Amino acid sequence: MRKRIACFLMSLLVTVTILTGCGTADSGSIVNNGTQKEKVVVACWGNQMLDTYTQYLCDLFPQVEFEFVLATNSTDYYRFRGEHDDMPDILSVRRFALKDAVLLKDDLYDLSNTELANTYYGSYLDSYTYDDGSVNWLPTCAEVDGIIINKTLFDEYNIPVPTDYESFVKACESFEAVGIRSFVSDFSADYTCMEVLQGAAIPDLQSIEGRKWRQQYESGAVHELSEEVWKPVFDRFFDFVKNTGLGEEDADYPNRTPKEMFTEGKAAMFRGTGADVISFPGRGNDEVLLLPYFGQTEQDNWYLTYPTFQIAASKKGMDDPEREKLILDIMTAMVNQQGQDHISYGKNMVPYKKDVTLELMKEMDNLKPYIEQNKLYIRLASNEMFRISKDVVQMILKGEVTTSQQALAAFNTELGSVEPGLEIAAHVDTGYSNEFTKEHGNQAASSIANTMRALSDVDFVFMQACYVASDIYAGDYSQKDLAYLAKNDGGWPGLMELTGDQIYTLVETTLSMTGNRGAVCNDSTLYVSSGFEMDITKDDNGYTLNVLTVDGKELDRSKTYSFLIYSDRDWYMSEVMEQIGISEVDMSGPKAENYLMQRLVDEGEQLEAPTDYIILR
Amino acid sequence: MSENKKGAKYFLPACLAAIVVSVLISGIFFIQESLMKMMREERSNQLEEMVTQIQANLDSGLHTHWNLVSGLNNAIQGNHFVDGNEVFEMIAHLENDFCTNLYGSRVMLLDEQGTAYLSDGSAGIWYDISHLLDGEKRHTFVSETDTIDGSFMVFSQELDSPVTMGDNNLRFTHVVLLKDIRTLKSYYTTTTYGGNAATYIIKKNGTMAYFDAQDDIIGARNVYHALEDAEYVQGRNFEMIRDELEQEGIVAADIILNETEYYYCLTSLDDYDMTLMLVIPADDIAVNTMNMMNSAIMTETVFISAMAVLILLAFYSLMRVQQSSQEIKLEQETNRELNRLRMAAESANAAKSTFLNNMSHDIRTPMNAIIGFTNIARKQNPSPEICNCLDKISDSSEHLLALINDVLDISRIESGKIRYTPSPIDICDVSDSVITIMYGYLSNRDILFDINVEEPENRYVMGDAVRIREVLVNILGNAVKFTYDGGRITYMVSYHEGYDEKHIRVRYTISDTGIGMSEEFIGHIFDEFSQEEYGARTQYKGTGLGMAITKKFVDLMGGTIEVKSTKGVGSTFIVEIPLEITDCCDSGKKTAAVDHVNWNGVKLLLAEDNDLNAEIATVQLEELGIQVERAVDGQQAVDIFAGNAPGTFNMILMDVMMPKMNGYEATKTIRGMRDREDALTIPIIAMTANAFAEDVQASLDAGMNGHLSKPIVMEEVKKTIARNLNR
Repeated sequence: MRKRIACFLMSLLVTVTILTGCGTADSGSIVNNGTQKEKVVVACWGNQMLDTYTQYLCDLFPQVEFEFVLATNSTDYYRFRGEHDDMPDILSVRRFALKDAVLLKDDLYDLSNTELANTYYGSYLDSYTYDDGSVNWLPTCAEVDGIIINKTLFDEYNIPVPTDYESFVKACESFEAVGIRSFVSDFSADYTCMEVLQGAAIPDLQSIEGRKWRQQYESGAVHELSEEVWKPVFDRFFDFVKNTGLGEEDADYPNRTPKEMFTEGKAAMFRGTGADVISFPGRGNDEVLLLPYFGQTEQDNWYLTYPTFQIAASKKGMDDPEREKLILDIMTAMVNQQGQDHISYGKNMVPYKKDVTLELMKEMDNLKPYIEQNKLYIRLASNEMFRISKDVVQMILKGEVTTSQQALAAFNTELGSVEPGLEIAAHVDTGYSNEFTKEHGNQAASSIANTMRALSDVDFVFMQACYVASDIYAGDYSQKDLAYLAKNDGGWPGLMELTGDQIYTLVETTLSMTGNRGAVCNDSTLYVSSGFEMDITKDDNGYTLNVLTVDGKELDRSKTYSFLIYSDRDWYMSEVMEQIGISEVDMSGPKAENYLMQRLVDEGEQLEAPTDYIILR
Repeated sequence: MSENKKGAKYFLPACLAAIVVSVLISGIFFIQESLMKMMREERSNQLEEMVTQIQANLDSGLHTHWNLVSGLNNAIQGNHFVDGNEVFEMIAHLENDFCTNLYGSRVMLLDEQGTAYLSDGSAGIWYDISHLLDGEKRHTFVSETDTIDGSFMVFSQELDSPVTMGDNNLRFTHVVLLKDIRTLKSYYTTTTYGGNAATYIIKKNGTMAYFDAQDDIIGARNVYHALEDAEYVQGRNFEMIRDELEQEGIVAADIILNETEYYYCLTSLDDYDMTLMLVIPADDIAVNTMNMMNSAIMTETVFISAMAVLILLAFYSLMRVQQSSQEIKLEQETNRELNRLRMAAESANAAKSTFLNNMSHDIRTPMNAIIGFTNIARKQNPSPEICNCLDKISDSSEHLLALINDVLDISRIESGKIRYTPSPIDICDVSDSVITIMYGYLSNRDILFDINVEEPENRYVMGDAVRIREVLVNILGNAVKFTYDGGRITYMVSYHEGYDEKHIRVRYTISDTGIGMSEEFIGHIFDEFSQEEYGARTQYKGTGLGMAITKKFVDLMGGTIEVKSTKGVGSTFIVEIPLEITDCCDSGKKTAAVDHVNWNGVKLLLAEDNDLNAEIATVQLEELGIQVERAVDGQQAVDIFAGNAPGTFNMILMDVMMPKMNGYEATKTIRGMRDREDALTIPIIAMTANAFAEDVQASLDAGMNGHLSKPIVMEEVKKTIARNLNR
């Protein structure tokens, strides 16, 4: 009898051990180098966070095995994750509107009871407080958005730096007269469309009527643009388009084009942020300034602003006090002085927190009086506002609508219609996890990389695995949700021809890179390879490449291969290209989400199966 | 009484005591709980009073600000300012005129674009302008931004008439009084709570707008959420609290936060769309009342505890009394039982004595006949064969008589009937009588009898000559019995110092060269019925009670007896008896030498109901020359005595157990004859089969002068008659 009981207890123990996941990596903790580490999934709103911010978190919390994923910059992306019961532990998003965020309220942790919430200026936090007093999201510092000018270029052509809208128009005319584009922007990006549309008419939007309408819109009381407020906004935008010479071709300018024109001295002004001032310093030694959106008088000038990003925590797992404390500690580290220094480079941001001080860089000196006067317009940034602004602005640029009344009508039409792309468009038969394992790497990323290689007909694909934002869930997908698997602003394709030696250099450079948006800070940010395998050693100093193989045989160093990189374009690719000594890169190819659409929607086929592409020692 | 019954008897009082104590303890708890409930109510009431007062003060104080704002509105209405500088000057002027600094306040004007103008020349977009868009003319809320340093209670009023600025007539929409929120505390004080009170102003959604305390007790932006999560002492919850707040406008509650008990009170500041909350550690509220309450509780507890103790003691005493009563009852019952047993034992003893007496009497009586007639027969010159038969009858009779005597003795010793009653004796006489007896024993034996007797300094001692003699005769008798002819018996008497001058120890040492005893038997020699096995029981006849009786007699006299023996060599008995020295000995007159008594003319009245015994006695007495007249019972003896002249009879031999009137009654009757001069003097000798000492005493008590046991031994009879004859 005793034997039976012992057997029963042993079975029970084994069962419980298996069920509770003892001895295996579970969702809460994983064994790494024999040490139990707490696993925390952080969804990054953009690849800016992969620069030094993720490394900062890894260094600060060595007891945590972070899994970073590059999320689509939308609260709706988290709706998609929530529907698959796969909410990340910590969420971040740049595009934020309380009316969008409230849809996630049931899945998110209420921060209103935390000391963290108390460190914010009360009035600012009111914007994040629901009617019942709950607070899910906390903002980091504010990004400032305006018109970046190449002052050196202005000086070269003796064109006065504008101080109001009229002088801005004159400057535009002057530059156009000398064959330099006065103002360019990437109107293929929805945020540019929305920000320029709003930025050009901030005094109208800040009027009493404008504020009243916004309050009603954000509270859900109204669902269309007020003619009283918005017709003048469109009037100003039409005027802006006319005076800056924007046209149909500008509608499709990708992000890179206007910035290249600016850095090449072919354009005098472009819409950009404080971060862009750092990233695109003109022709090298040019003096670059971030100016406000101009009003009729200088008093009417405004900068446009928005939090760099907001963070929230999933409610899941927070009933465990230890985990709750850990998550809150990480969130605190994300928004405290040190964390915000990593976001803002310490110089281009405005803090919302009482305990954070950020020093503005010299190029933003002219921002200071605006900060003092709080002439900082917070963009209206609901998801639909992004989407429809792009549609309507492009219509305007393309001449499809020619009057403000038509634009207003078009806008309101879309506001009143169902968002396209929500119907089921594809089905995934086999799901894959995007959790990195030493045995198989990131299987979801491998599947997508293999699919990209198959569709692009290249020898190799090399992609930062965290650009795949989530597991590939088996099941039905709308086009919108399908894109969420790998859609982000930071990922760009770079097609090039590389020798085996150059590939070695590229991989080695990638693994040793720091302070770069393509840097590897932990296993989850390693790259996935398709067509070749990587043998890598990990130690306290980071990752070291041992050998690259193709089907088990070492890569032919002398042979030339077609090579598709999918990662950050401006920071990562520029550095590796420099390291491997090439300049010819075709970045016109489709982005990752387009490959997914092609394979699953257009072709109706399945994604390629993942391969074991990495040996991590 | 069984244990169960005892337990059952204690169960009820114990239960009652337990119930009473439980009730008292419950009472303490109930009182404590009631007092604590009252205390909670008291604290809540105090808090509510406090908060009501604060609320009234705040209402009053804040209302003043509206008066200020109205004044400001009136002061600037209709104005047109050339530029911002004029606006700044105007604001400074207004602040000065209205002494807003006294209220800790600043004046702010808002233009239609949301730009705020302050007296220090700053102007900027006011982040909180969104609060003013709901169409209401007046707004109050708390503003905290980084553009205007500090936290402010905002009193905003839409301007009644247009105020404009500049050529384009920029319109000012609101006049605002920004009251430094820290100055709110000037309207109330919480110092009575040891500086530990925290005041919170809470927005409608529960978000904290302001708190005034050394420490943020709540520690959360959303106060309501924190209060929802708190542990409520009185089984309430925040939903109930909010409902009560909604209905009553004020509510107090008792919560545990961070393991500390707090009281908080919420009251609606309806005019300001906010709620005021006062939070105070429980220990700081109603301290004096609490102290008083604690003292009361302590006193009450002590009192009730004392009561409980007293009640317990009372119950205990009651139980003890009950128990004592029970014990007494039990003891009485036990005593009764013991008495009953004693009486039963006494009854049994009496029965036994009666039985023994009867047996003694009934056996001795025929024995008297057997021995008597054997002696008579022997005197009729029988043939040698008949003489041999008579000898055997005589031996057997004597053995049977010895056996009866021993059995009776041991029984009487064990029943305690034989008591040591020392009287003055001549110890030398005792020894002499023993030697005399020994000579009798040795008359037909070829045993050398050595006598070595010391002469004591004082021969008169307090002792029991009969018992001493019996002890010595028993030992010497055995020596004779177990010593072969040709052997030796040594009899030594020595006297030694006693434990004081008044006492001596007489030591008798009796040695023989007899068969001796085994070591094993020596250990059992004083056991009853112990006889060493010699192969043929009949060789050494005995009852096996002799040494047991001897030992008991020695013990009775406080002496010791020691035995040394070697099988086949012989035995030595050493008897030591402590004796108190005395001055004289009245052991009675010396017995006359019976052989020289002239019995002629002596006339005896023999009262004897048994014809055989009467005949034997008569025959043997008449052989001596004594005249004998027989009475068949006591009554007849009395009648004969009374019927004859005084001096007719020299002596009366009185049997005891007789029909009609026993010997005792007859003796008493004779002694009671007042008209007879010899009624008291005539010797009356008991002659009875009742042979025990108590029988002797009973005879003496009845007024007799001596006692002869049946079967009668003529030598004893002659001695007794000779001793008691009044001639």
